[in-house]
Amino acid sequence: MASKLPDLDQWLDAVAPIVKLDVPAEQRPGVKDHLKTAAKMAALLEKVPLKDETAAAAVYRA
Amino acid sequence: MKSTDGAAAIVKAVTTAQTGARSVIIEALARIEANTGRTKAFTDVLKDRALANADGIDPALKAGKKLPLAGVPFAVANAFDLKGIATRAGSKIGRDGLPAAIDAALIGRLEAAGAICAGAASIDEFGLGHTGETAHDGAVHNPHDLTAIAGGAPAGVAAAIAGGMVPLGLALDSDGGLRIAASLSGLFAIKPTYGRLSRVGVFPTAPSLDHTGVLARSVEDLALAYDAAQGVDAADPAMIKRPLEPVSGRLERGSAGLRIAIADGDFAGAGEARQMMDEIGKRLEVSRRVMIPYAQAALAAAHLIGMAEAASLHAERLRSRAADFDPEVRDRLAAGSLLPAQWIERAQRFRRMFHEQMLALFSTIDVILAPATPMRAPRLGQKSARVGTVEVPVRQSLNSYTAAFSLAGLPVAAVPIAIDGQRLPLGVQAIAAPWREDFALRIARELEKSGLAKAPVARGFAEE
Repeated sequence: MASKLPDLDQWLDAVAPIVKLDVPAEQRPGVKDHLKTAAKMAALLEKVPLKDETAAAAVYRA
Repeated sequence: MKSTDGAAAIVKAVTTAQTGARSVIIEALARIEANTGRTKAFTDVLKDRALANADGIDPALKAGKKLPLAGVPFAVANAFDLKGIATRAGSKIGRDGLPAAIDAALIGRLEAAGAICAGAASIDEFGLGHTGETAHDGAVHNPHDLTAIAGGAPAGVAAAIAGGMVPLGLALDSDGGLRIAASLSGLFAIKPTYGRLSRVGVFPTAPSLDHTGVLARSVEDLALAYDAAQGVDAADPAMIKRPLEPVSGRLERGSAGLRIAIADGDFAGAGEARQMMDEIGKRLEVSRRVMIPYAQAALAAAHLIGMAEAASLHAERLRSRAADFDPEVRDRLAAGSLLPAQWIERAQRFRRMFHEQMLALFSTIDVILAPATPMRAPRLGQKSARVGTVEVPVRQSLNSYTAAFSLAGLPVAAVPIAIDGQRLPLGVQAIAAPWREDFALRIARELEKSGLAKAPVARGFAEE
């Protein structure tokens, strides 16, 4: 899935206010670069088959 | 006796009363003062504290106390709490914090063994960088070549050791910082198994990836400090209850009986790194090659998890003090705040599968060898570098070979290999199964004995 990158401006504009983050114009190119890298990495991970029963590594030890 | 001598030599001289602990520390402090200007290694020098602690060593020895690190000066990354000092963790914001009430746990462990903390050394802001070019304290210069970077994130610690100011250092390795610094500055280092050494009192970079570890100029010194640092700490949630498993007595077994393989595929290295691996293969007579499964995905998972954990950690500071961050760090943290939860959860599920696959590899292999960094230390400010036939971005590629093993929490020794005709070294990683730090360090010792690996004090720093 997801070889096409998301619209980075749309992503930033939609989510930043939700986490109360102000991203001024001069910071947008830098932030978008990192979003682009993250999206590519997520796409890479989507291609790795995982079993339904594979639990996340960060599991609380009682 | 000088701080350019190794820890083991200092211990011997101090315990046999050939020299006093005070004279060792006075000499180290003088070297720190003389060399911090040209390296930017230290941000805080603890002169009074170090002298006071040194004065306690000789009487303790006379009273019959066993101090395996008697009189050895060491540096810590400035993410480690030091009583009475605000923990800056490479940041501007950290300096406004309250002074730490107590030392980080590992500092206490080393000092209980007779070592003496000489000061705190420069790191990338909040550990979020790979070059030691911090915006707030000035770029750390590599003692082997002052026009080159020394980092990894704990660049100042590496420069302090490579520059002969102290023989030992403590630092954090999140996605490779400690091993990258060791590779670029030509040092031995151990990043132990996740959960082996306490992280209490250390400002985190990305908690589920963070490991504390040790740097030194010889395997013997490294093992002495690593052994002293061990011990359960109930205050660290990642800590696993294990008995002490000292490695110092095991090093001379070298590679005897160990099944060794050289990593292939994405970990094979290119250019000088590839040549180094071929040379190591010849010297250790290792022909076996092994593919690390899902190498690129492992790097991706470590990157996403690191981004998200750091963003969560700094969320409030990012809202209230964005202007006080290094711009590069600020933008990465902002992006990390915007990632879909599903991506992070998938990265953590991948992580479990990757860990299981790595454990399966270790059913037939004891140690895997891989380059520590794709390149020798780049110049200060250098943006891209040629690796083999490809031009790669420096900042984004320095952790290419280290992040996967942080993700899996495996113990790794970084070993500095001298390259013919080159002033700057390059590191190799010896990666072992969980809790087999001894295997990784035995390979490090084998390479050291062969003459291929060495960590001399940098030229121009040893003599004066």
